[in-house]
This record gives sequence, structure tokens and C-alpha cells, in this order.
Amino acid sequence: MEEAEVSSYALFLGCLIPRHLPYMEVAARKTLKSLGVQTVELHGASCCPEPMGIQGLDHITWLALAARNLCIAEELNLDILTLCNGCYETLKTANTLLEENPHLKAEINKILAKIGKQFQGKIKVFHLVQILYEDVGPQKIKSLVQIPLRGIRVGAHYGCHLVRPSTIMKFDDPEQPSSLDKLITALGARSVRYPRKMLCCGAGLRGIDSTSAMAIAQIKLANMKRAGVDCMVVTCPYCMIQYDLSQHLIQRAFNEVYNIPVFYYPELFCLAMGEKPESLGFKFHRVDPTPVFEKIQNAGL
Amino acid sequence: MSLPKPVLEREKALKSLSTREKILLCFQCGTCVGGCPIARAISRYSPRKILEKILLGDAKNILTSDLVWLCAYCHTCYERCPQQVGLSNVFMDLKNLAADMGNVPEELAKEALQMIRTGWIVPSSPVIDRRRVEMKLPPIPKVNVAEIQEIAKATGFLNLIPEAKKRGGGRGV
Repeated sequence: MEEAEVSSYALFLGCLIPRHLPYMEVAARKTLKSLGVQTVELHGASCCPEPMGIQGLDHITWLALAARNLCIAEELNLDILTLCNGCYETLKTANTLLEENPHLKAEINKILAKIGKQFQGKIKVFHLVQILYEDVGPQKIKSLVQIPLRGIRVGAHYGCHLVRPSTIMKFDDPEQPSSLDKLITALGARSVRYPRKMLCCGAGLRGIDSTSAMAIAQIKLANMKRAGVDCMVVTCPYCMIQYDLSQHLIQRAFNEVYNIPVFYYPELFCLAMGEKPESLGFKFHRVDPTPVFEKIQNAGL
Repeated sequence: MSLPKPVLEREKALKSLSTREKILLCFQCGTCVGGCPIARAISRYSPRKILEKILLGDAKNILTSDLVWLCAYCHTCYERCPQQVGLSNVFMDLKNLAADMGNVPEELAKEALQMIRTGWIVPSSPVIDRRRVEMKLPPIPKVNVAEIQEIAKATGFLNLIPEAKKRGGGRGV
């Protein structure tokens, strides 16, 4: 007898979401549950590790630590589902490099042998947005919407590592992607065009050159404001930190007012599925998203 | 194909950069500069000039400066380079070489320490733990730190962090 196809994933939480921004995790878990996607906790997993700093110090250590995480999911025989672009890049890159390069795999497995693990290369790595777009699909999502987000003007921010480097990520177009726009449109909202859509959020420079990190984020906020967005949508906690938590600092540094609420895509998804804003931890957002809720409510009247 | 002689100074530089022979395909068109968010924010940063220095055998000056750490790894240059030099991989190689020479930004050293000590780059917090309970989230899965440390020991990772005795932090918020 053939087994019924139930999609189940090893949920890779990463660092920032569970430890700083758990409201993002709440929205992600509610989104997955509402779609019947089952997740298993990834006990023993560490930081992915972060692709800029840890890899910047030593590529091999970064690969070995990432491979250790992949091994834990392999032991469960489950594909990994990440909630963060950084985790997605690290784990998918490590998985791909080790699968494609037997010498590298042997080198890393020699290291992993010291902790009794061996990378096999039998699982895949996905981002939540990828699952929503490829497995569930905008059409299905559209049919499930309870409260269409009519009239809401959204600026989609993909973040770099959801789609780049394209030779590894192999999801959507690295320069002109459309998946997130379609997922936003599926909720009844409007995805607004704006210049330099694929500009990096600048988070990678935080702590190294924080002023420049803000200058890069400011370009996008200014472009979004000019395009007249009601809010922006991100798919990654680093982008969330840059645009939501740092927005007041950017406003002060550039003597400008943006006041653009920032949503993690699953938060917007949950609102469209009828979830009450109170259950989603919006009180932890730095930029008040209340005007968006009011607009959604007024549109429904 | 071979690399200019001065680059051969360091054995590791040779090993790493020579695996990226595509560097030699760079014809200095500057497409990488046009798309680079860092070049836009920091006028003295230019991916093309970094490649120029490597090709002229002057990589050491780059490796000892802060420039090498400014690449935010957005991969825009990687996607746009007409010669498919694989630029962001090159810049990651340069970071590894710089770290090997003792050029490590303080924030990254802190992040690395946090990683080795706890398995995470973001420290845990009882405030967040309480918030998780209030939001009905399950506890964060535990990590076997001894395994992380065993891997770091095997790769010599700790040798890269001279501040290993100082108190660690994170780069998160």
C-alpha cells in the first residue's frame, strides 16, 4: 500500500527568530499549521551558522558546522524548512557543495567523524516562502483567504539570500523575482513597484560599519515611501531588524520620516486568514502597524 | 594559467586564490561596482579595485585593511559579472585569508566566541524565554555544545580568535 503524502519538515528556527523576534516564529508556525504542513523540532541543532561572519572567518568550519545541522535532519530523514534567508543560504549552500564535491565531502566527514556523524546528502533544504510558493501555491492561498487585504499597498522585499546565489539557491529569478509578489497578491493586497527592489538590506554590515548599514537600508525606505506603500514585507529576520527595529535610527540619522510598518510575510498571511492582530505579537514591532489593520478593516466594510 | 608572483607570497593565498582561477577572466569592466550596495554607501570601497589589486599582485594590502570585511555578501556582483568570475566567493576567500593573517573585526570575533561557547550567535535571554511561554511557543531545542567545540578544535577555528579570553557577545540586534 502506498503511503499517503503528508508534507513534514524538520523546522530549523535559527538564532534571531527564536531568541530575539519570537513573534516571527508565532506567525510562521500558525501559517504552517493552517496549511496542514507538519513540522518536527530539530533537537540538537545549532546556529546555521551565520553565512557572513562565521564563514568569513573560516569557510571549512562554517561548512562543518552546517553539515552537522544537516546530519541531524538526515537522522530524522526529513527535509529542512528554514524561516530565515541566512539559514536558508548556509544550509542549502553547504548541502549543495558537499553533495557536488566528493573531496570536500570527505574532508568534512573526517571532521564530523570526531562527533560520530557523517554527512550523506539525502535531504533537501527549503525556505518557508519557497514551500508557500511551490508546494501550496498562490492559487490555493487565494482560495483560503478569509479577509482579503484589499487596497493595501505592499512593498515586497525579498532579501538577498532567498534567491542568490542563483546557482545554489535555484529559487526564482536572482534579479527580478516574482514569487513573493504573487504571494502578496494572493492575499488580496497590491504589490507596488519601486526602484532597486533587489537592493540588500545592509544587515551584513551591522557591527562592522553600522553607519553604512543604515545608509543602505535608508535607500530602500526612501524608495518605498516615494512609491506610496502602506507597509513592506520581508522574509528574513535580518531584514526585519534593519527595516523595523532600526527604522527610527535611520529616520533620526537622515532627518526623514518614513513610518513604514514591516511585516514578516507569514504575519500578513495570518491576518488575511482571519487571525486577530492581538494573537500575533505586533506589540513587539517597532513601527506601529495599526494603520494597516484599520485600512484592512475599512476595506472589508 | 598562473597568478602574478607577489600573490604567491603566502602559501594559503596561493592555494585559495588559485582555486579561483576565474579571477584571471576579470577584464575590469566595473559592472560589479554598479550593482554594489557597499560601493554606493562607502566611496572608498570598489570591488573592481579589489580585483585589480589581486591581479597586480598587491593582495596583501587588501588583506590587512578593513576593506576586505565590508562586502555584505549580497551576491549582486556574482549574478551580474559578465565574465562569471564568481566574485562573492572571491571576497569570501579574501576574508578567510585576512582572518588567517590576524585581521578580524572585533564584532565577528565576539560572534565566533558566542557560537563556540553556546552553539548560537545570539545569546539566550530569560526575558525572551518568558515571552515564548506567553506566546505558547515550545522551548528552544538544546544544542550539544561539546560537539560544536570538537569541530572548532578540529578545524583550528579558535586560533583565529585572539580575543578568546574576552567576554563574548552577539551581532544580532
